[in-house]
Amino acid sequence: MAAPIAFDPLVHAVEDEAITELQITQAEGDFAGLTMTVINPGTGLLAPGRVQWCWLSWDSGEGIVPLFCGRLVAVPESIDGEAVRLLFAARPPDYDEVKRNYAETLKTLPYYDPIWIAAGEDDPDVVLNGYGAQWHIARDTLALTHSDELEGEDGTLTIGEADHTYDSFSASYSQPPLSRVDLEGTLAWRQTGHGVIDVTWDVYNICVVHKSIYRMQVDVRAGGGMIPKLKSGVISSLTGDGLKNDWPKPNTDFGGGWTVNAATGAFEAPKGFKRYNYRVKYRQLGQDALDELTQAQETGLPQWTRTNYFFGGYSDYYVDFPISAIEQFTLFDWAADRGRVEVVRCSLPADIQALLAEPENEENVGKISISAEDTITDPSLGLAVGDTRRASYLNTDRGNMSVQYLLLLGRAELRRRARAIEVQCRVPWATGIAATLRMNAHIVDRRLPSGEAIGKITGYSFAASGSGPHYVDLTIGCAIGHGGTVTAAAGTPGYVELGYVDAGYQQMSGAEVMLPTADLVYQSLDDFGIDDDGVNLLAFDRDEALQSITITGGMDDQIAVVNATSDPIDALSHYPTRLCFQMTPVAGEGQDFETVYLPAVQPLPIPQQINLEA
Amino acid sequence: MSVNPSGIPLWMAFKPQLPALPTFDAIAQNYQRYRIPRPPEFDPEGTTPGLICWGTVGQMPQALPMPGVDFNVNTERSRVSEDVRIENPDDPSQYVIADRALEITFDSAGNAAPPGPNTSSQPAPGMSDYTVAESEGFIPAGSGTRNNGTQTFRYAGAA
Repeated sequence: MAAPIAFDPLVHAVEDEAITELQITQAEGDFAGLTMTVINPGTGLLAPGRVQWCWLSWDSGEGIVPLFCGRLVAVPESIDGEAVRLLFAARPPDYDEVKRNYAETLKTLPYYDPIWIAAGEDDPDVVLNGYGAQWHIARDTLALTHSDELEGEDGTLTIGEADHTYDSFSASYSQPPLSRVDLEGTLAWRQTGHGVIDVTWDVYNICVVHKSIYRMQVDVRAGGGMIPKLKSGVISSLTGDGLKNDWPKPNTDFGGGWTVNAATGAFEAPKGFKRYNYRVKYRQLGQDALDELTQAQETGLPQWTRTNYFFGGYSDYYVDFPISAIEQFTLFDWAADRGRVEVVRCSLPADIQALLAEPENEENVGKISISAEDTITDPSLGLAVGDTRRASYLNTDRGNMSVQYLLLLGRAELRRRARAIEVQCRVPWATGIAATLRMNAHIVDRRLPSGEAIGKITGYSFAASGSGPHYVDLTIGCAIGHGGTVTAAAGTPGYVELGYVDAGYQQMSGAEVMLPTADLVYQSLDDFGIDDDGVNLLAFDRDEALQSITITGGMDDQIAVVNATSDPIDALSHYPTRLCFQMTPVAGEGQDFETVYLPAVQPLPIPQQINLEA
Repeated sequence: MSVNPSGIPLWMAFKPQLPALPTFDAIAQNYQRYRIPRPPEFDPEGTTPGLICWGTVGQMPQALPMPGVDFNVNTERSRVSEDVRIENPDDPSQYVIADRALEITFDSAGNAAPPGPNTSSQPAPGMSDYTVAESEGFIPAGSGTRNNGTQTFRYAGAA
C-alpha cells in the first residue's frame, strides 16, 4: 500500500510476499513491530514504484483476521541466503499530529492542570501523568488511544490451565512497590487588588461628634430615605487655616499600599455657610507682675500681697478666633500586592500486600514535589484563581482540582509501582492473536499463589514460521493490592442547614472529597484556616479598611482649651485640629503569607490481581 | 492655702486669675469639668504603614486689648460737709450721724496717656446725686493732653 487504509478482505487478503517467518511484538507505549522473513525480491524495496505499507492478515480457516498494518522501516535487516528480514512499524504517518490532537482531548481537570505544568511545555506525553496510563497504538487500525496501566479497557483474555504452555510460564518480581507517596505542591503567587475608600463622611462625622458647628443638610427622597444635599461634609475648626492647608495631597503614599486619591482636597465652604468668630476675653498678667507673684508665692507672703500684685499688673484682651468652614473630600486608594505561598502536603499510602514494601523503608516511599509560580493568576491559563483578591486558591473549587491533580500523580505512581509481579506465558496462536495492550489477561495456573493471576497485558509477541510452531507469548503485570473501595464522609454543615443553599455555598466540616477515579478520598480543605493577617480583599470595604480615626483639637476641645487658659492663642497653637486615619495595611510589606494544607488521605485501594497472601 | 484635689490652687479657679498654664497633666486630670485629650504621640512619617495624619496650626488671629472707659484718679482739694441724722424708720431711737458732702472740689490730675482697660463704664453708685458745679481746665481722660485745673461737684439736694 502506498498509505495505510482500512483492511478490506477482498483487496488485502492476498499473498504479495513469500513469508517464511514472522514475529509481531508490541510493548506498552510503543508501536507494534513486524519482523518478517521473505524471499529476497532482488530489488530495492524503496525503489520507485514499490509501496512501503503492508497489511498482514491470517486466514484462520473461518475467516480473514487482520493482524498488522505498518510501514517498512529497515531494509534489509538481515540477509540470510535467499531470504531477507524486513522490519515494519505500525506507526501512523501523521503520528505526532495525531498524538498532539489526542492529547488535547485529555487536557481535562483534574487529570491535567495547566497551572502545574511548566510554561511552554508542549510535550503531549505530559498529559498522561495524571491518568496513570500509557499510549496505545493499535497494530491494525493504527488508532491512537490511551490505556490504564492496571486495568485494560477492552476486556479480559482468559487463559485456562490448559491454554498455555507449561514450560513457558514464569512469574517474577519486576520492581519494588511503593508503600506510600509523599506529595507536596507549592504555589507561589501574588494576591492583588485595588480600590477606593471614601472617608469624607467619616471626617465629617467625627468632627460633628466634636461639636463641629455645621450639619449636613438633607433632602427627603420621594420614596423615603434621605440624601445629603452637600457633596461633602463641611467641618469647622478654630485652626482651619492650618487644617485646610495641611489636607492630604493627592497621590501621597502613606505606606501599607495606601495613597491619597486624586479627588481629595479641602476648600473654603460655599458662602451659604454662615461664618462665625469665637471670641475669647482674658486677663493676662504682665511679666513684671508675674515675676513678683511667683516670688511672693515662693516666699510665702500672705494672699493679699499677691492680690495686690495681681490687680496692679493685669491687662484685659480679647481675641476673635475665626471658625473655619471647610468643605472636604477625603478618599484613599488602596493597592494590594501581597506575596502568597500555598503548600499542600500529604502522604498517600497504598493498600498493598507486604511484598518487600516496608512503610518506613525509603526505597518504598516515593516523593513527588511540584511547584509553580504565578500561574494561577495568569490570564493565559484561564486565571485559575478567579479573582486575584482571594486569600487562598487551593481551597476553592478550582483549587481543589489542582490538589486532585497532585493526588492523581501520586495515584499513578502508586499504581504503576504496585504492578510488581510480572507473569509470562505462551499461548496458542489462535488464542493469543486476540491480545492487545488495552486488554487484561486472566491466567489460571496452579503454580501461582491462589492459582490464578489477572493483569494488564504489557507486551506480546506473535511468532509464526512456515515450518515451526505458531504461538503467542504474553506478558502481564499484576498489581499486588488488596482491592476494596473507599467512601467519602459528607461532613457536617458549618454554614447553614443542609439543603438551605445550593452545593458550593455550604461549608462542610469534616468532609472528605472523592476524586473522579472513585478510589481516592482526601480531607476537604475547608477544615484549614488561612495563615495571614486576616485582611479580606474580596470584601474590603470601609469597615474593613478603616481601623481607627483619631481627632485631637476638635471644636469642643479647642473651645475648652481657649476658655481655660490665660493665653488662648498660645494654648491653641499647641492644640490644632489634627486628624489621624489608620488604614488597614494591604501591601504585605514584603512579607509572604504561607498557608500549609495538610489534608489526610485515605489509603489508595489497589486492585488485587494476584494474591500473594493466599 | 487650701488646695483642691486636682492640685490647682483654689485661687486659680477662675481663668482671669491664672498666672500661667498649669501643667498638661493637671489639666488632663481634672479641670473645670473638661477632659482634654492628650495629643497623639508623634509618629515619624512612614513608620506605621497606612497611618496618615494632618492638621497644623496655621495662621492665628491677633489678640487685641479690651475696649473700655478710661479714667483718671483726681485728688480732692476741699470739701464742705454737713451732719445728717439717719434713723431706723421703725425705731427713730436708732440712728447714726453721717457726714454728707455738700460740695467737693478735685484737682485735675495728669491725663493718663494710654487708655487703660476697665471692667465697667457705669458711674459709681450715688454719683447721680451730684452735679458738676464748676469746672476749670478739666479735660476728660484720654481726650486731650495733660492739663491742670479743678472741678467742683455739688450735692443736688443742698440748699
